[in-house]
Amino acid sequence: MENKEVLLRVRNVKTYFPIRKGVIKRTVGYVRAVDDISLDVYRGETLGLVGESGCGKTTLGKSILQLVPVTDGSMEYRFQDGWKDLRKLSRKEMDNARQKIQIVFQDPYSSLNPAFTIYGSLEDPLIKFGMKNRQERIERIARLLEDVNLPREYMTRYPNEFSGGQRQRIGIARALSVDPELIICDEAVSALDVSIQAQVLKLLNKLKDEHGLTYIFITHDLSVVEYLADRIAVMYLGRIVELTTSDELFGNTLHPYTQALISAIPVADVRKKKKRVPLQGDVPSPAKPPEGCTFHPRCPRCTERCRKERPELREYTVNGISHFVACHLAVAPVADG
Amino acid sequence: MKNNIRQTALDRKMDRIRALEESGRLSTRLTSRTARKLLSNKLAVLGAALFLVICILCFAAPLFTRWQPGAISLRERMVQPSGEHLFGTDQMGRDVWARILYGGRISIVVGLGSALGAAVIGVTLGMFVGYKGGWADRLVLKISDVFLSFPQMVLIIIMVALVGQSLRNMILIFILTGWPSMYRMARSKVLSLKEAEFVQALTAFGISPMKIAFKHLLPNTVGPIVVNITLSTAMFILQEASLSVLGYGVPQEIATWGNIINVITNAGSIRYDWLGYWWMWLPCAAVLVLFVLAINFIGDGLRDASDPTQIG
Amino acid sequence: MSERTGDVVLSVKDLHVSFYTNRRCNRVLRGVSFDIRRGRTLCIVGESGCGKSVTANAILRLLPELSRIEQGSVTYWREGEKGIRLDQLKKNGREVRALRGKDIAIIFQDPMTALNPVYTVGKQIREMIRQHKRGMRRKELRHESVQALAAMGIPAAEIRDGEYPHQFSGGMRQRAMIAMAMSCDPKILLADEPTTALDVTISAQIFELMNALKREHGTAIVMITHNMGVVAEMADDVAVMYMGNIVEYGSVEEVFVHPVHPYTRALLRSIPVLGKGKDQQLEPIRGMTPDPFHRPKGCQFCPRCDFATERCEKEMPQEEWLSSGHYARCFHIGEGSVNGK
Repeated sequence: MENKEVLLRVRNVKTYFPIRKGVIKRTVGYVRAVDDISLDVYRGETLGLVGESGCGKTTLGKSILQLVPVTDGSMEYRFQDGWKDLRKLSRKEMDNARQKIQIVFQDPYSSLNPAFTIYGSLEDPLIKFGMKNRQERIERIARLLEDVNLPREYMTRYPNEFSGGQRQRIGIARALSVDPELIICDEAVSALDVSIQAQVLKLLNKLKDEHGLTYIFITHDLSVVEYLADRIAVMYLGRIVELTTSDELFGNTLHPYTQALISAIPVADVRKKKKRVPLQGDVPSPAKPPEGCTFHPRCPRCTERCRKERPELREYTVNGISHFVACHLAVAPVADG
Repeated sequence: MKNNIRQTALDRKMDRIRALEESGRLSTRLTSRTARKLLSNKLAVLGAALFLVICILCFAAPLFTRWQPGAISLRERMVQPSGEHLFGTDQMGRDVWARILYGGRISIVVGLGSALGAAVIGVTLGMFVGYKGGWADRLVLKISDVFLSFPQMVLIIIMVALVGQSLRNMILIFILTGWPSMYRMARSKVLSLKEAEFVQALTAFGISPMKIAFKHLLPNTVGPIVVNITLSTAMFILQEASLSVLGYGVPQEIATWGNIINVITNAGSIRYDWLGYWWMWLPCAAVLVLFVLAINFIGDGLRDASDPTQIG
Repeated sequence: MSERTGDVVLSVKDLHVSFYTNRRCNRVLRGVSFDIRRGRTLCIVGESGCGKSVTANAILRLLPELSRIEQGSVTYWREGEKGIRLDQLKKNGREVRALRGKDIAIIFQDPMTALNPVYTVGKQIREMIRQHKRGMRRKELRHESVQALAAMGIPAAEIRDGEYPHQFSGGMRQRAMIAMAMSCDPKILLADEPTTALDVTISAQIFELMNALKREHGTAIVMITHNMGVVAEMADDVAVMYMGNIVEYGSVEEVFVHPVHPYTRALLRSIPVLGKGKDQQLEPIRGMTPDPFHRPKGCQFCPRCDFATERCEKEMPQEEWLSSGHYARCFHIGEGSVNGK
């Protein structure tokens, strides 16, 4: 990934949600949904963000868009006039920055307003970003629909006339409407039927080439992310445990959690029955994460050091590819290779 | 091979639908399901018809009676129903039929006006404050709690005593006591919609909360709001009548349904023989009951029709 | 009615089910036949609306009110007895209720809504046991429920027995559901998307558990899923459903290695497979599943199929047997399979 231009620089971002109790709503603790995350997003890449439910992947996506209050850290974005921290922008500046970063949601059934036609749902963002002429907006929305392989006549219809896959395309068209640079896809294909998933995945790849987009693709499905992503970040309990290119992650898996995750995925190929690395127990609550390495209670290779000391996300270089991993035990295999 | 165990009415209906479906004669109708269900609800249609008839009679009153509701005629006091006076006259010689029609205007305006006023205030607050959340939401919620925790009738009587009796005050008081329930309903609807992804998408475009609440969320709450308006219209008409009967309502000299029925409590001679002078209050009470029933039928019909969990 | 063959515990023959809502008739199942065998897992796989859950609910007569079985039979074979025609029993009658849980158990996708939040998990399991095995004493019952939980790998089952569903995590709840389902040692376990709501590492645990049940108790498992990966991992036999028909049926090896129905083949080509990397070619199935009220006249897959001919538009193909355990409903079996999978 050298010679690539960094588009978004996330540094030490923390998003904590207070747990309130009692009559006066006193804060009794925090859910550490995103706990000290740093990563770079390069222009033109697809960054996969993988993890199980509750690992904070969706919260990280919403944190970047400032849809949830971020507790700490910085998120610098490369605008035309230089780097700016999204957290430090004024309300007005942030509203304009939203033109650059957009989001596609998971649930095709709640992502469109049932009381509005497609035109009605897509119109407001266009007005906001300066398209005052109605005829111009109609033309623009028609083009967007055609971009996502839907006929332009659909703009006068209501969401209940559409299937899940069609709604998801409309959601993608809406995100595209303001010509963003970065699109955060939050489980964008998870709710779709398998035969429809492939259509949307291909569409996303096509649009990326046509519009020069950058994706952050949030999902729990490793098979999808392997197909789509250039680099993959694996998250566990609000932290990144492993981050590297897709090939490197699957070819040279370093973190025991990633190994277990990959082995747990059912593969649609009967000839490839593989050995499982069974994981014991459940994901702990992010309100009280374990001491030391957060993964240690479930880790098959846990040592004394893992129980006490939290491993930092370290960068290793394997065959010229940078490979970040947060594990005390990861040093050995890298030194060998 | 047919299941020959039971042949219930439901089974026969299913057979019929299936035969039609297989012959390709069924298609998804273009009319909305809500409208279809409302029209197939006989009570609701009856209610709507009654409502219309009574409204037309009241608001086009001069077409249906030549008497004025306030015209006192001491020579024709307590006259029995006749061709001249359809429902007779009261103890001051006023034509009861005319009073019912003209009084209906006031009663309906009070009921509908108060319900609309309460809806405007309650829904506006519920939409905006409910969507924004935070301290404003908590404050308004507490205020509505205070209003709701008083017995409404007592609250109204206290207020009447404070601001005095007049038509305008009556409506204002009804609005003041009626908004909290509207607010509660609008707020709960907004809270459930707030987490929908289309709202988050709008936020992600930087659309202002005001615009999200009133342009994008309001249309989704119209169904329950309309139901609530109809039901509270009926409630306010009844309350107006009760208050007038108690003497706390609209001033006596203005004809309203409540004030007409009020004769039973009031005038000396008929007090001891109110059954004998039935024409003075019974027709009015009947119209009142019919009208309130009609509105309730419409409201119930609307509620059932817009409820997606009901079959049909 | 046919005789019982081999180790078949339940056979479904030519089952037709229709739903009657909004004054329309939706023919959700249009002639479904399969056998469930002792100690084997049958996976019914298909997309939403294909009728896979309806099949499971029809077996246990759990269909909604405005629906009915139009045609066909569901026969349950108890050891050494005559077959019981489940489809002819009274819906919700005593006979069906006696079978539910004891002979045939079902677990659902969302364990939270399937457990009653106001009773402890242990009480709900005991309720189930008491329903089917009368005359047990309190102590015995409690022992049984704790045992049932422990057998599902729930740690500290003694304590967990007295806890409420909200105190359980998603995976634990599904284990408790399975414990409840297995408490009366049923012959058949119907699992309707049992892991769809769970994380992959947790579903892997549930799968291990179900495989152990099959091995140790000889339970026949029917697993309903939309995930081809799950099918490949879990199934002995596969039934691929599309719009109310089983379009292909066979052992998992046959269906995955030599799929013959165009839908099965297209489905397998349209999903990303882990380990094939970025270069794999996904071939989406064109179009979308038709609206159930505007179904194609003949073969339901016809409008999306590459091999469709005039005949496909007019009639639904019958089950065409390729070998003793492998059939497909297609007029064009084998066509284009050379360059296919």
